[in-house]
Amino acid sequence: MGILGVLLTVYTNGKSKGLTEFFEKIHGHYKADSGCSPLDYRAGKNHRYIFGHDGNLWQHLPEGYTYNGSSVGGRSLYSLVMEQMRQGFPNSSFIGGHVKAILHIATHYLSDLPTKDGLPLPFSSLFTQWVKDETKVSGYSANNPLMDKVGKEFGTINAADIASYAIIKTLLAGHHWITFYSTNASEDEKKLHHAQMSVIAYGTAMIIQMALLCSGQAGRTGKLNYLIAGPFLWNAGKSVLMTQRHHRDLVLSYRDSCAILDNKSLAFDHWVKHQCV
Amino acid sequence: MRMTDHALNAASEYHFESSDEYCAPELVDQAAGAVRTSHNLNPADRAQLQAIVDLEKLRFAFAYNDISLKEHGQQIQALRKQLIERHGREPFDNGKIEKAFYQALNQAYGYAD
Repeated sequence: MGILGVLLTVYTNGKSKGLTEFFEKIHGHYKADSGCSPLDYRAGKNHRYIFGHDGNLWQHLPEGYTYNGSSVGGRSLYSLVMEQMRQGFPNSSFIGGHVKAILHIATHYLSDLPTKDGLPLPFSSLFTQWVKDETKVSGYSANNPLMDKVGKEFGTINAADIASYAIIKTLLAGHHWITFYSTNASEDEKKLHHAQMSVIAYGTAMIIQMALLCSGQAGRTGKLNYLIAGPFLWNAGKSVLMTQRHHRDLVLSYRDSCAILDNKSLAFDHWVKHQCV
Repeated sequence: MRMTDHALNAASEYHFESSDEYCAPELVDQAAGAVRTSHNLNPADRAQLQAIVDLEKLRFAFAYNDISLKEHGQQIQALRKQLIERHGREPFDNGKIEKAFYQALNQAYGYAD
């Protein structure tokens, strides 16, 4: 399952151009005609690390920042998108305007997801630093020390990551259903088995991708996939806790059993009955 | 502050807005030529491409000539304002022209990602 997840990552990365074009078409339905999206008001290398692409809708450009001759600094990203939606879709109702704004942002993220840079980690733009710089067209230089440090290998999520997570989760669910079909295992046993299988599947995918990253092979597939790493750690923790609980229950049951055997007033038959019940 | 030659840092991706480096005018013209031949450009696209070329050449001139930072900033803003007024477009809008130009320019420097 883990290997299939990695193979799907390679496949999805290979189809990134087509996916981007597909999602850009959908994004076009929620775009105003008045120029580029406010999410792209910052340009340049790694501009997604700087502004607008990390889900932080309260982020704002520095005071005095202008775009297309209008002042856009000091206002939240969401208010900038809303303003563009009002201009582009003047007949929209209050709720319709907000729905369009949310769909604009969501489809913009979707069209950026298949690209090699993907999207930065949520709320990473909190680390963005702006410096006035007259040598730039925007009048500002910007950097994000957090994202510069982790880079796209450790600090981004893209469509291939999502596809890999989705296929592994689906295969795990199918395997679980087949394994326990018409068996009467306890719910606890089923949960533990599922958690352990998840650790193996997600762990395999994660190790392969990290090995590819270390070896510098397979380009964009070599990275830390947070959507895989998260469930791996979650299920590893769950497995440990469930196994510990099972162990504790077993030790308690042994103690009870030994206590009955040690009790001289009770017959051996009593112990056998206790064990069987 | 003066710029450094991007040729000394060609392994890194270059973009006007995120680099403190300058590019050789010949390579800038070569990249612009590649965009002109590979894209069907409308008047606004052509003007945007020309503005980007002019900005890059301004930066080269700033790196080599005795132009003050303030004067350089004014020249940049004048070019930007002209494009916005004539075509309602920013030189750097994360659009197809900007992307195609910088892809060609970075390729000209041997950058591969």
